Amino acid sequence: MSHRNLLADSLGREFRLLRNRIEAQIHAPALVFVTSATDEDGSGFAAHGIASSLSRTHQRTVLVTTDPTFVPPVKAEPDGVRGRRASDKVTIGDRPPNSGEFSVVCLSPERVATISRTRVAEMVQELRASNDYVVVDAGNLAKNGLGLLLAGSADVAIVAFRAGRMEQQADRLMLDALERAESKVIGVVMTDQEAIDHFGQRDAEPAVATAMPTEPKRAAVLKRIELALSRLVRST
Amino acid sequence: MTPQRFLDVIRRHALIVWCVIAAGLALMFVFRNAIPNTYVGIAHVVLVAESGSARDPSVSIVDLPSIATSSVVLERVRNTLKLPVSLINFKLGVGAAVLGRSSIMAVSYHDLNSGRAIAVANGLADELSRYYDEISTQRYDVDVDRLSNEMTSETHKIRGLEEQLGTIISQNPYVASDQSINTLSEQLATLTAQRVDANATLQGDRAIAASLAPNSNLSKIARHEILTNSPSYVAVQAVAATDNAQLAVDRAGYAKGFPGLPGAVAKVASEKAYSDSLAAKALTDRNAFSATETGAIAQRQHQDALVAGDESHVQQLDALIASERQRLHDLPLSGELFNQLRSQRDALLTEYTSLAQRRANALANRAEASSLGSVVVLDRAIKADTQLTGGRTRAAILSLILILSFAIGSAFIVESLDPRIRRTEEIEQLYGIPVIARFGAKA
Repeated sequence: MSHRNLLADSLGREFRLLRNRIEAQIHAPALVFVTSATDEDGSGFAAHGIASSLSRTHQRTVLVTTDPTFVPPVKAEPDGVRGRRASDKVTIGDRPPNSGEFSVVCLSPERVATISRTRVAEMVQELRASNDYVVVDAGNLAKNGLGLLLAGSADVAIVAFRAGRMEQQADRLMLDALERAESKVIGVVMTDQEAIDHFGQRDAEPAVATAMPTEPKRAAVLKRIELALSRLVRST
Repeated sequence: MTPQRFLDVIRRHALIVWCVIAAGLALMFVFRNAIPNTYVGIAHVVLVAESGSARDPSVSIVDLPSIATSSVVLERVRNTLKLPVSLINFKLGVGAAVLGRSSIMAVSYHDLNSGRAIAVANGLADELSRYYDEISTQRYDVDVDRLSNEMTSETHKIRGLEEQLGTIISQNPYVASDQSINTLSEQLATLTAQRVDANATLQGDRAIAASLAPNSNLSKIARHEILTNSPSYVAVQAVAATDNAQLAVDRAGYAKGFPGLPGAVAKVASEKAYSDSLAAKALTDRNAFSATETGAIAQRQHQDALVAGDESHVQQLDALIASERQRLHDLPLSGELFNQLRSQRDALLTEYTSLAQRRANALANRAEASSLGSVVVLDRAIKADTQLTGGRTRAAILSLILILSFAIGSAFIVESLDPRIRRTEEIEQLYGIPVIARFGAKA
């Protein structure tokens, strides 16, 4: 077995354990908030892995990322997912809970900078209503205003930390922000550059099968979510 | 420190580790000639007839290495070869190991000098052979030594008794005889008879000496011989005799009033006076000689010597008689002491004979034990057997270990100085929340 396969197995095992830990602490519907102190800590990697792992248990899962640096882990990026405006209303229909399939909603921080707290709450409520788990990738919390708003709505919060970096002031700021938002932080997930890099190339690794929906029906659902978010942004 | 954590640190600082190893190897290469070579000399010994019945069963092949490296053997070899090393350092260079299950043992010595390594290895093998013989026959040696010491003690005692007996015999020679009283009595009687004879001889000699004592008659003879031998006295005496005869004639022929008588009388008187003076002069002359007188004196002196000898003989006999009487008087005491000492001496002689017999048996047993088996030098160390060992090889191994240790240590030192956070504990300390998942090998 190659090193990459070993790594993929290891990552899949760790995410399953993390999923069990999350499911032991909260019950669907729930919002899982994943954040970090710096852009390189791998919050996107962690959030995507959590969403993928949750979706494998046939639970409806959506990944909401506010990280502008988020790179979707698919070779063929679904149309309209990245770089499009978020709709002001999210309407997501019933989806077959196929294993490993989940939706991704990408919100550009620049575009959602003016979203009000009320709208955010409505969006979260709607996402909760239509999904079992909403996984929010807030990225660098200090730079992400929407992430700060979503933190207060999270049922649990998870902090990503990339091993091998030095302590920074951002760490303290992130902790202060989480404390102010009264988030229930259940723990830290340690990442490393190799795992993050592997996450970026994951399309070639079926072991961590967190593939984006590629079927036409799933693509349509995704488009509707994006449209709703875009409307939401415009309305604000 | 888990193995994973150890490997992670090494992997993270692999460059430092390799740099340190490279630098260490370079230093090793530069200083490779600074370490002297060590040579080893190896000799082989074999234990022959190990299971001999007469050999000490407590000594076997498994004991040989301990014997070869014992302080006794090493000290002897060190003194014999005059090695300039302490006993402790000497022992560090010595090796002894039995080859498998055989009765052959290799004795080796490491040294910087090849010749000394060979000499010491051979010396150890030879000394081991000798010392093994010593300890394998030691029980007989102990017996022999004890018997020898005992015999020496007995000899001294016997010698002392002999001296005492000799003293007693010298004081009383008859004490050693069974019929000493009879012998002494006979000797005393003989001496008494001899004394009687000697005393008789003495008395006879004394009588002869008394008869030879000087008297007037003999002096007159000597006077006559002296005067007769004087010509002037004889001539004057002849003239005086003539004149005296003429005077007598004149007196007979003439009356008292004859005028020639006074003159003749005066002449005769004058001649007589002159004759007397010549006689006195001749007698007082130093050269006056009388053969008769001289012979008498010599005979008298001879007799006096005989008398003196007789007296001495008698005195000697008296002393002997007194001594014999004293011996006879002391005989009971001396004889008893002599008998006691002689009994003791006889007992010691018997014991000495017994000890000598036992010692002879012990010597025979020891000889038998020695002949039944021993440690034999099978293969002496020679020049060709000298091997290059230890020295650089050992130093290289130690250096590699040190270099690796230093390299690994450097990695951990750098790791400890690295402010980056890699460990779970550090993250938990930073955030105050637990780590619930680790993704990736470095996480």
